Amino acid sequence: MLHSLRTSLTWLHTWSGLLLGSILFAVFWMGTLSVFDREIDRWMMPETRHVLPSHDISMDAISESVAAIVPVETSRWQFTMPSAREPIVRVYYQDEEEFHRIHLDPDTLKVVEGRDTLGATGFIFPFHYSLMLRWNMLGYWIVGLAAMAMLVLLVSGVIIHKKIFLDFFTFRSRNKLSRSSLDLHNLTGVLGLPFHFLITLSGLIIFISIYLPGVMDRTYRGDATEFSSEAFGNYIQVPAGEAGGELVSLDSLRQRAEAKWGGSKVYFTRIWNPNDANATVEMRRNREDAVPLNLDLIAFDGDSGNIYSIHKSGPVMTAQRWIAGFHFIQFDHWTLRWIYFVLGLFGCILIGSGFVIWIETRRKQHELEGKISSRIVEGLAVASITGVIIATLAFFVANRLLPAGAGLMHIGRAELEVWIFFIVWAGTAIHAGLRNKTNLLAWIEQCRGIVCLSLLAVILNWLTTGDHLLTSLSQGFWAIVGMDIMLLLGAMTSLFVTHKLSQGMTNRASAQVKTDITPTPGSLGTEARA
Amino acid sequence: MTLSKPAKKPKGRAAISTAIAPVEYAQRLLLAIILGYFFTVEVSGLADLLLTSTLARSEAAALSAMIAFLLYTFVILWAFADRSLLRLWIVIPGGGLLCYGLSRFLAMDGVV
Repeated sequence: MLHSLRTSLTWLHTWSGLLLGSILFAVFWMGTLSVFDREIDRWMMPETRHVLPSHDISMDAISESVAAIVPVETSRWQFTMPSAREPIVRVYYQDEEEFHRIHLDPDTLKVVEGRDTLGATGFIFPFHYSLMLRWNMLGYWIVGLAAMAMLVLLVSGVIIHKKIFLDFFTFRSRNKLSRSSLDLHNLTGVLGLPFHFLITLSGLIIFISIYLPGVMDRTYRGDATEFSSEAFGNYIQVPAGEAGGELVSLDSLRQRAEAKWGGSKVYFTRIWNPNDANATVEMRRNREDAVPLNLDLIAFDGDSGNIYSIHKSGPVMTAQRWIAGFHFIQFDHWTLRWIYFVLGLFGCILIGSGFVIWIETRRKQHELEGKISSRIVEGLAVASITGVIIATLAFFVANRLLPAGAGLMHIGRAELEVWIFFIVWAGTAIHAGLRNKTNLLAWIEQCRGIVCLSLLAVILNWLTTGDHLLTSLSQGFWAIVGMDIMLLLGAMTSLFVTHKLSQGMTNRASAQVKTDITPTPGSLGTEARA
Repeated sequence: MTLSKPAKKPKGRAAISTAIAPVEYAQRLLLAIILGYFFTVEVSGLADLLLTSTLARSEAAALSAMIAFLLYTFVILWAFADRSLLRLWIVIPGGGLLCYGLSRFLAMDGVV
């Protein structure tokens, strides 16, 4: 039987971190990038680098321009009004096969022609919660499991910690790798603890109806749409099947909606069955001015403009939307946005250093015993930490390199970018497996890869768009400035890490010669328990 | 299943090795992840049913589902923290079944 609370929870902490750490890192990494998804979109879609027009944009004009593109029999189309972070009209429409995304120039309302890409809002953000595995919601469940592991890791990490306050002020950067990574693990873990706990919990709470269908079933008997209409106010009118008249003026509907919401703007509009007698116009209230992702929604009859339904969330759902809003950070607050970004990176460091501790505390022992498990874990760690970063950078580079009409067999340009992401990621895993026979070599080489790809991305952005750092600065394209500076900072950090690791490798090689096979006492037992 | 006395307290690496009691860890994992999920859903489901007497059903479902994540976290940790496997085997599957039965009874009885 187990001996104490601490040993038992240490076992749980070690194994859940080891088994789900890779997924957790990917989720945290992509989530951290999603904090700036609109900004990355501007970088990846240079055609949309606009300045937000100061005048009001007519929704009827948008409708007119979209009507020319959207097929008559479409079941719905929807658009988001331009905002400071996304200064174009983002339109989605459904045709017989799929959901299409297009952008309208905010000044001319003409379609912005550009290279087809999913960008951060279409790839990085959905990867964060679904891993792009849509089959049977498999990706959502894997992320959910990893999120539960994160909650368990955070709580067990606190319980097994002996001197949480003292360790918080300890960082022995010049000490052994196992020591300094333990300190780093403790530092980022404790400093980010409230944020990491709440961001994980809120991430789970966003998907209550996915993760807990059993609870919903109790009162809804398997009717999930019923729950979403009652809780979220989703309003669906069944199409009549006969042609309807002219769509009512969207601008007039907007005025009425904004009057109802005390002047708060409409940010999202969806038109259901636009050419049907039962056409419905759905308008949603702006979410930039407050934390909750409010559920204020008005559904109008598309022909007469009569109000079908007005939704306002109940107290529990308002709380749920506050929690979701805390996670989604759609409110306008740049200081907090950066704090989210930094704390997200802390999460990545926390998970990464956890791996390093596992490997370093066992490495010598395993070498003596001829075990390969620490080698395997090291390969896994390399592929899931530096590997996913390299794959993301390859995604950015591919975005700048692939020509407009690129495609391969049935794969379109946007999908090709995603394929490159996954192929490069798999490549880093193979590389890690082959090269980690020599200590730290796989880490070093992949860190070099990060340096090269980051610099390449910045240079390619300059070459393909003409926007180098100085022009973006002078034109006030803060999204592009931020992205370029972050890439450069990433390259510098990686260069520093490469340097440090190379030093470490030389030290280890010389230490190996000196001590040969004598294990150092204390390097094994005590630290493994931390 | 009952608590056996540890002969000697192992130190360091040995303490976190699964080699000591793989069967026991397997039981705890089963109790924590799968049966723990069942327990969580049944307890929250019952809470959902009971809450509908005072709240709208969408509100009751959302409230009990939100709390379920904290409950699940607690159950997973508890499945590893409690020395007594017997207690875990009684409370987690037993409690889940009890709540399931109560929900069925309440629904059948038309109380809620």
